[in-house]
Amino acid sequence: MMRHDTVFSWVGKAVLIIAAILFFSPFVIVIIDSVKTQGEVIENPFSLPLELHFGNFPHAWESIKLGSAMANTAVTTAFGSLLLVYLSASISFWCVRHPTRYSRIFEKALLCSVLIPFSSIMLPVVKLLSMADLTGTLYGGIIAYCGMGMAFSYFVMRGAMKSLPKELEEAAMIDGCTIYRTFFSIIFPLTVPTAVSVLILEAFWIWNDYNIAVILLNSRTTKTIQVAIHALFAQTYSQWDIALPALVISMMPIIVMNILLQKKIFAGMTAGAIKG
Amino acid sequence: MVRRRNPLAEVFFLGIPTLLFIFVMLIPLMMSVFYSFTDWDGISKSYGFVGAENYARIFTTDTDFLDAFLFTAAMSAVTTVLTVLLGIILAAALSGGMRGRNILRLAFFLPNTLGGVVLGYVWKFILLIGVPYLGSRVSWQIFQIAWLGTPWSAFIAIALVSIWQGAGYVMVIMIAAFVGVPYDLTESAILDGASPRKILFSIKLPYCMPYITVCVFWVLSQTFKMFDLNVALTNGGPYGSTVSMALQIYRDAFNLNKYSLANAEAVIFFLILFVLTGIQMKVSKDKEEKYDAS
Repeated sequence: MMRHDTVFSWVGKAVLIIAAILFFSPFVIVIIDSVKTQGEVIENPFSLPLELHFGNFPHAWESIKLGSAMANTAVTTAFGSLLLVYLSASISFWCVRHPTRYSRIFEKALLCSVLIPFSSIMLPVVKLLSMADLTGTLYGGIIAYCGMGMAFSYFVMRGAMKSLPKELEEAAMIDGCTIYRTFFSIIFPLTVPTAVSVLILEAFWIWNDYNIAVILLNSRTTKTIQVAIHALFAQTYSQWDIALPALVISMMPIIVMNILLQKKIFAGMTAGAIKG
Repeated sequence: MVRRRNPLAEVFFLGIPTLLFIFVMLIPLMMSVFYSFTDWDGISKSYGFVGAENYARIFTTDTDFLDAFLFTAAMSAVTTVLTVLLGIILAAALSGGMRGRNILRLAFFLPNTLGGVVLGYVWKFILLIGVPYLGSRVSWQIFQIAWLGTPWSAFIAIALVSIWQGAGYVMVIMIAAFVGVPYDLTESAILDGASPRKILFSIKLPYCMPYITVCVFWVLSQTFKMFDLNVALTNGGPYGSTVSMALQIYRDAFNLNKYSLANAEAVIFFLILFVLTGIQMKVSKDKEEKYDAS
């Protein structure tokens, strides 16, 4: 019995490790091939490079203006996710701690809105944003991300808000704290662990999003990294010595974040799934 | 504590969220419904009402959306079952105290944190350059297929990439679920001489059913909304066999100028997801009640 289990667990471990390598190998192949010449890539995509052509990277960066795409993505992601944290904290503070008749209606409506996929409202959203002269600007994208992400962020924040004791706020009020100050200096700081989860989840979502970006951030000056990568492949995807370095550059921030923040990311995903 | 009404604070805390909700969700949804009953092309100054004609067209003359629905439904069914299964297996294997589990988790989880466009092109490269190279060296049938060239193989390719992307999510949720199983439950089973496999199937999995439900519906709704993976991997081809519902709406609106038709499709798309999520809420609620009762 004992022996059988050990053998089984060794086989299991080996299978698991092979599976992990298979899961990861597409990235390894792309990373290795990104420093090869076009000819080398075509000849044998699985060989190690004869020489490391790091020059591929600046070349790719220049030829598809990755710098501006990166900057656009970074700005949209930073503002979008920070605003979502603020908005969801503000909504949950009011709905959980100071419910009024209106807040109950708003909460219900917001929760129902998670059912609306972006594709079913995107056409009017484009219309409305162009009426407000916001198409072709990063603002339009940020507004759309905030609107679309608000319900989910609220779901996650609500849990943290519910777990704070009532006495905190009462004590602050008795000491003469205004409701605004109570929110900013007492309540919000206590929800920071959850707020970080929201920040990470929403930042990943916005960084990786193509659906909203291709519709609202598709102009020359607002192109995000996902849109730029798509444009690159749609035109000249056979030029692998440009396409692969570009892919690697676009993946790097996410891979680094994963390695640095693994525990926090897992915690965030779990919180999002269970409370949402 | 008696609460004083404080309308100013209400505006402060809920004002901007309300505006966002109205202008990004509510009005657009109503506009979608409205335009779906017109013949507007999205540009002209005037348009007329045509009743349910756009909806009728979806089922009679412009049946591309129906095909897209069938593709999406089939893809969702296959992908959901396999993603959840794989995710649970990974979670079961990686929730123990195995050495090096964090790096393994990272490998399985990484695809989930990258965007569909990037993942799609990574695989496009592997399938267009890598697989034919292997095919020229080894005579295995699996490397001789033009993976993105025929409808059924393109379907499999998208399904595989989608499972590859989603399994890590299910794994993370299920690891958290397994960790949450009360220790005294498993401990008494161990004392009774139950094998690890028996504990997994008879204690842990039944205990974690609510989490499995969450995962199933998460994967299901993700695959129903599938868009970027198709765009990157096949762009709907070959012969339009891998166009998802979201991609069909996009094409009808922006490439084919069938604006009002696209709005009708958008409304149907919304209704489908509405029903799906409704079922989810019902299922979770029934489970909770059953759990509370027992």
